[in-house]
Amino acid sequence: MNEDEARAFIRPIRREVWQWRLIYTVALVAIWNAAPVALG
Amino acid sequence: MMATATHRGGARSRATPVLSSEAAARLRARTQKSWERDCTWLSTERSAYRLIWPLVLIVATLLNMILAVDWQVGMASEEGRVIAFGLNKSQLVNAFVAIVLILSGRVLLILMADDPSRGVKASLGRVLGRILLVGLIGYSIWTATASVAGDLQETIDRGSAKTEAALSASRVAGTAGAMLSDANTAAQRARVDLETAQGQVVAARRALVQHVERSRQDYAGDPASIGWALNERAGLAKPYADRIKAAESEVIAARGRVTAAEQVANGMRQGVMDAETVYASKAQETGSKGKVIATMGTAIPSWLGGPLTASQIALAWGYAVAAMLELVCYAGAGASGRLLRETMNGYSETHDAAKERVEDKAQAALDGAGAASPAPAAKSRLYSRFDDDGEDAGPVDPSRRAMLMGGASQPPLGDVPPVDPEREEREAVGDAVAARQNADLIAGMVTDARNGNLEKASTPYLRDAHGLTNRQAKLVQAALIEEGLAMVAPGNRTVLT
Repeated sequence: MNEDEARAFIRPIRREVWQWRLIYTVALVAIWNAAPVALG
Repeated sequence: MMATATHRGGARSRATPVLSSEAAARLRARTQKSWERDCTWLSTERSAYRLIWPLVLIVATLLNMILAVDWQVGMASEEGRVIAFGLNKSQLVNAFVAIVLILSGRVLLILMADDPSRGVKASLGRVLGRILLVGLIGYSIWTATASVAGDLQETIDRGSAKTEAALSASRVAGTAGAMLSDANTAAQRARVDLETAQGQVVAARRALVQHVERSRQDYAGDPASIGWALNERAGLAKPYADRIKAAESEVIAARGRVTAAEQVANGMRQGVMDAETVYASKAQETGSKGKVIATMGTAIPSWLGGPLTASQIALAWGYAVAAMLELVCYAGAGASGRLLRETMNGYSETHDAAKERVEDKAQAALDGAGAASPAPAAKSRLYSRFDDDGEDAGPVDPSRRAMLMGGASQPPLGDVPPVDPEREEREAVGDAVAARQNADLIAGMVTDARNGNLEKASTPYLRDAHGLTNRQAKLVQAALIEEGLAMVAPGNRTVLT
C-alpha cells in the first residue's frame, strides 16, 4: 500500500471517528443535563 | 546577494550531508510505525464508539421516557384512588401513553432510517411514517423541554426565595439590633438610678448616725430626751429612718429595673445573633445555581435575542437539552437500524434472497441442459473444473473469472482434463440438481459469510467445522464466489474476500 492508498484508506475512518466524537460530545451534554432532571 | 548566499548554503549542505542514509531509513521506519500506530488507534477508537453507542441510545431514550412521563403525569387529574407508584388511574394511563409514544418514536426512527423497500406502497408508507415521526419527535422535544425548563424554573424560584429569606433575616437582625440598643440604654439608666438610690441610702444612714451623735451631746444627762430623740417610730429620729427606708425601697426597685432591662438586652442580643446566623446561611445560599441561571439570561447579547428573563433562559436551555437528546437518538438511528435489521429480519431476508438466487441459477442451468444443444449447456455450466481430483472447484461467471485469472477467460489448459461434452452436460445437470436440493444450506452459509460469521471458505473447514460433504462444500464455495464473497486464490484455494 503506497502513501496515497493508505491515505485513501484511512480518510473515511478518520471522518467517521470525528463524527463519533462530535455526537458523543452532544450526547454527553444532553445526558448530563437531562439526567438530574429525570432522576432528581 | 541572497541568491548567492542560498546557493553557497546549498553547495555546503551537498558537501556535508546533514542526514545520513541510515538516519533517513531509521526516520522513515519510525514515521511508518507511528503512522501504523495512529491508524490502529483510530480504528480502535471507532470500534469503541460503535460498541458503546447502543448504550448511549438506551440511556437517552430512557431519559426521554422519564421526562415525558413526568410531563404527562403532571397533565392528569390528581383526584382518585392511588393504584400503583403513587399514581391514580388517569396518571397511570398518561404515563403509559408517554412511554408508548416515546418508544414508538424511537422504533419508527430506527426502522425508517434504514428502510430499503421500494414501490408505491412503501413510498406512501414512508410519507405517512414521516408525518407520524415528526409528530412523535415533536412530542419528545416538547415533553423534555417542559420537564427540564420546569426543573430549572424551580431552581430559580428556590434561589429567589433564598434571597428573600436572606433579606428578611437581615431586616430582623436590624430591628433586633435597634431594640437591643434601646434595652441597653434602659439598663444603663436603671443602673444609674440604682447607684443614685444606693447613694441616698448611704447618705440617709450617715444623717441618722450624725443625728444620734448630736442628740447624745445635746441631751447629755437627760435620758428621757435622748430616748425621744433616738426614737425612730415616733420621735425625732423618725424622718431619718423614713428616708433610709424610702432610699432602700428605691434601691430594690432600681435593682429590679436593672435586672429587667438586662434580661431584655440579653434577649435582643440572642435575637440579633439568630438573625445574623440565618442571614449568613441564606446569604451564602443565594449565590446558587438558580441565581446564576437567572443572571446568565442577562448575559445573552441582543443579536442573539437577549437579554432573557430567568423563565426564558430556563425554557431556552430546556429546549436545547431536548433537542440534543433528540439529535443523539436521530444520529444513532441509521447505525441502530442496520443493527436491528441484521438481528431481527436481516438474516431471513438475506437468506431467502440468496436461496432464490441459488435456485434460479440451478433452474437456468437445468433449462440450458434441457435445450439439447451442447453449446448452451456448456455456457450455463455452473462450475468449471479447477480441481485435479475431478471435483468441481468453483462457480464462475466469466467476468469474475477473468478478473481472478488475470484476464484469461478460461482456466489454464493444463489444469483442465479434455472436455467431453456429454459428460460435461451430465455433470452440469447433476450440479444444478444438487444445488437446488441444497439451496437452503447454501443460502445459510452465504448469509453467514455476508454477516461475517463464516471464518473460512476452504473445503476442509466447511467439511470439518460445518459437517458438509465434499460435494456440498464445493457447492457452497461456488455460491460464495458467485456472490462475490470468496475468490479462488493462487494455489487453487478458495478464500473469503
